[in-house]
Amino acid sequence: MERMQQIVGRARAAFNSGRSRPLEFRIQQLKALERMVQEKEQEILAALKADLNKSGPNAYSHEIMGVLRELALTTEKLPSWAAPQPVKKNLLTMRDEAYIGYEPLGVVLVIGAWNYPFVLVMQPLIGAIAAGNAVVVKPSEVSENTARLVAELLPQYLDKDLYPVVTGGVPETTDLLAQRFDHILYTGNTAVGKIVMAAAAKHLTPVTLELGGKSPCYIDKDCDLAVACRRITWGKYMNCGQTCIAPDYILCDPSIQSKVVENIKETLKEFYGEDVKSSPDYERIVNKRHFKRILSLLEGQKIAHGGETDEASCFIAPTILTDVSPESKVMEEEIFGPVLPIVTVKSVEEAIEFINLREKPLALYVFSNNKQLIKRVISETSSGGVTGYDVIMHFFLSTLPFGGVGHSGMGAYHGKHSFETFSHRRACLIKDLKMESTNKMRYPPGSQKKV
Amino acid sequence: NPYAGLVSHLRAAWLSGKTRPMEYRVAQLEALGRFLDEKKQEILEATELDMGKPSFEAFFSEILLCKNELNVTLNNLCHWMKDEHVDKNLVMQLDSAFIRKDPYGVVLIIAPWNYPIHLFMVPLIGAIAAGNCAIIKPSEISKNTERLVAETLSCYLDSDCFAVVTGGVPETTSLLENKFDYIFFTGSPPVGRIVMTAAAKHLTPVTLELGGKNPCYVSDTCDVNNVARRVAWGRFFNAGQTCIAPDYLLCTVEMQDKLMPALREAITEFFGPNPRESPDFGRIVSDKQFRRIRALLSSGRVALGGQTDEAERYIGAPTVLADVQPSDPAMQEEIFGPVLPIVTIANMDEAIDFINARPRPLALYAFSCDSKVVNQVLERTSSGGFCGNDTLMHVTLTSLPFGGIGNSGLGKYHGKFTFDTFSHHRGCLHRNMGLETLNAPRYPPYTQQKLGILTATFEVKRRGTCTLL
Repeated sequence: MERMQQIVGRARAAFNSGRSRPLEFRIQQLKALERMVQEKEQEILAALKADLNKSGPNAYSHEIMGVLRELALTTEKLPSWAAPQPVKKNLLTMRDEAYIGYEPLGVVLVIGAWNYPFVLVMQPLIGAIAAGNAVVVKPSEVSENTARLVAELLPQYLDKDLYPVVTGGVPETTDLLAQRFDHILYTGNTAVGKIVMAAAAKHLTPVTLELGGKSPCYIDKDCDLAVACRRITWGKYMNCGQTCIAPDYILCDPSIQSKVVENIKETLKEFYGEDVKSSPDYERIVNKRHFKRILSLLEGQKIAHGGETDEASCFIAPTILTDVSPESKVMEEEIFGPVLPIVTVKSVEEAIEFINLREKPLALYVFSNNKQLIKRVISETSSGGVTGYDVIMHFFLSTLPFGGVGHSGMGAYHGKHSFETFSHRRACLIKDLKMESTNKMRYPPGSQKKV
Repeated sequence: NPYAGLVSHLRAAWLSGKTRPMEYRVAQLEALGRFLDEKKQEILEATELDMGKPSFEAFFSEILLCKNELNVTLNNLCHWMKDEHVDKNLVMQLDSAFIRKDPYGVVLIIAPWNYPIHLFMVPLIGAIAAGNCAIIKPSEISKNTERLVAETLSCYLDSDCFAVVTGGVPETTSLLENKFDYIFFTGSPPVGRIVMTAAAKHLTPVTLELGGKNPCYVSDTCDVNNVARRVAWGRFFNAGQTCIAPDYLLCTVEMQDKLMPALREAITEFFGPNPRESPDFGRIVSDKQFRRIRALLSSGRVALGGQTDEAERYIGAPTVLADVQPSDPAMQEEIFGPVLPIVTIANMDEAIDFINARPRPLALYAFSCDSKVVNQVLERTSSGGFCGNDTLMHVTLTSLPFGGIGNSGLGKYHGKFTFDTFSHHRGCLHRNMGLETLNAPRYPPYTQQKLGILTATFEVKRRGTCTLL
């Protein structure tokens, strides 16, 4: 506990010194991060390979490219984002200065997750630095190689007191959460999300919670199944299904179920070859505990494809389940693995009802040639975000806020949304000390005339 | 769980989708306008009974400001509801990318007693505009207004979608056990913590409009009379029971001496020689609050006012305490009464240090003829909002966000900010079903060549670089 107090105390003292506030300083830190990513690319890729068996080009495109893109965007736009924003004035304030000022919140805590361990720590960090804060970074201990690397690298490139890295597991995180922060951004699961928010409530700390859930994927009878299934296969099995916005399960008419299975099987062959286990592009489950958890979801299910596993290497083959019952275990929790259940529904109404009976998901996907149908599904459901006729992609457009709703989270980030999440928008009205006569209307004694 | 039935009822109405069409929202908002018009007298009477609120003040804060928010909302609702299209990157040029404003569902609005209509009405306007159902929980302390709202609001709003719940701490605690899709709370920081902790159990997002001690710095170069009037107005409005009132003054000893006669004159100008008889000076809302504020009077020395009458819950004339020490009772808690302590400091730097050593306030005020001084105070401090050379006025501009920071709260509202508070901003990308070949670089098997294409198409180039083809 004392160690955490010291680390956070130092970060707070560093923030109070004011040095993280000037734009030049923030840009300099962001540029240092950029150098870090470029110079240490090999080390980062090696850590991702060790943690999740991610291949080089895969890890680069999913974790490094996005970070470099965010750094470039943020460094370019920061001056305009941070500029005071004048607002529309009314009659009484016509001669005054009225604007919204963007100010840092103070000391921010970023808690990362293990599935995309680098980008999920870096992207919030970029926004928090850009907004002028001190940032305590807590990478996930489950992806231990990346955590160790982040702890080694950040102090080599960034201001050590302002941006400390804290490593450790549940006890360390609990100690950290007892400290006072000015904002906490947590990426992880719903259960821990509640714990984080309850801890934050003690200090009235605002939170951004990027959680999860079961992201539904509705496939309409009227759509190009080959294309739809290729895109779904990509999104479902990337990172061995360990993606918060992976299409968790499919909803479709029983008449197209077998065609869907066929198309996915074809695509899997195209992506990973005949022997998935020897494909350098297919990842592994992060640890035994999750391996066992996912395995138990297969019990009693009709396996239309896949199902092979190897505990020693935490390998689970890309798996498709058909005619899944809504009450089964695989439909109760977020799968977070390469298992794709298909639940049949007879109509889009049934699909919408099915979705709405459940907790609001982080992402929602719908495939149909009928634009009106897609619009209808979006309008009659709720979710963190949506991609129509594809999966995952809304994550990659930084002008869209990325976040959940209900059990899938609260708040959002990416691009300018990160900057705003980590800033305080302070209302400023600067009046003249003269012009007192205009004020007389509002002073007592009251009268009908004044009214 | 006594409220489970009510919450289910509202949730069923929510799931039916009836609150979503714009016409429905407009109809409910217009009904709120009629409530304010038709029940104006009752509102003025109830707030007068509750805390002796002068009808001039009640009209201004409970009716006029609410109608402004209503009109800004009705005038702009169509525009606010529209999908907000966003800039796209290279890869998505042919796609449709927009932010959809989705209602949250069933929201809870908990209001305090000091501006008992305004502080549920303005959030409610935004909640309805955003398409939600709502439960309103007015404060039991302003009991006449509570009764008025409980008895009459339902005549104006759709009772399937909007309900008023009355009661005190036990009832509110039970209410908070239910799952809401958003909770909007205005009140004190300790209760704010309780609300957020209850919300955490259901992962319900919250806006907390809390309070604190709002500092008011007066520099040596200023127009003393104008300062005195503006500060007195802000401090004694609603007998000081305002979350954004200037809580205490920071100035030099010399300025304190100059301000005193000016404050006396302003008070007399506002409330006459005997403020007890002025219809424009309010009363403290309850015996408990009265006793609490009375105990703060033993701070520094009473320079103006200082008399109290328990029967009437009168503290006056509007009181100014001079030479108050940081350790005095009046400096330990938010005053929320017609008492203005003056703490003397040597200069602006000391004032700024004093402010920064304390929790961040909801509002911060600085008075000076020298704009550099005002800007210095603004830049070197942190607060929910800031007003230079006046008090309270920044919250009457609906284009400015109103909210706290740190102990004074989280989230913001007023104008479009209320609509945004009660909407989930849903990122939507509607892609093209064709052009599948463009997606090829992202699929396994992963190769360096594919990576090169992805990098080229996805990258954000820094300005000043160029690729020679």
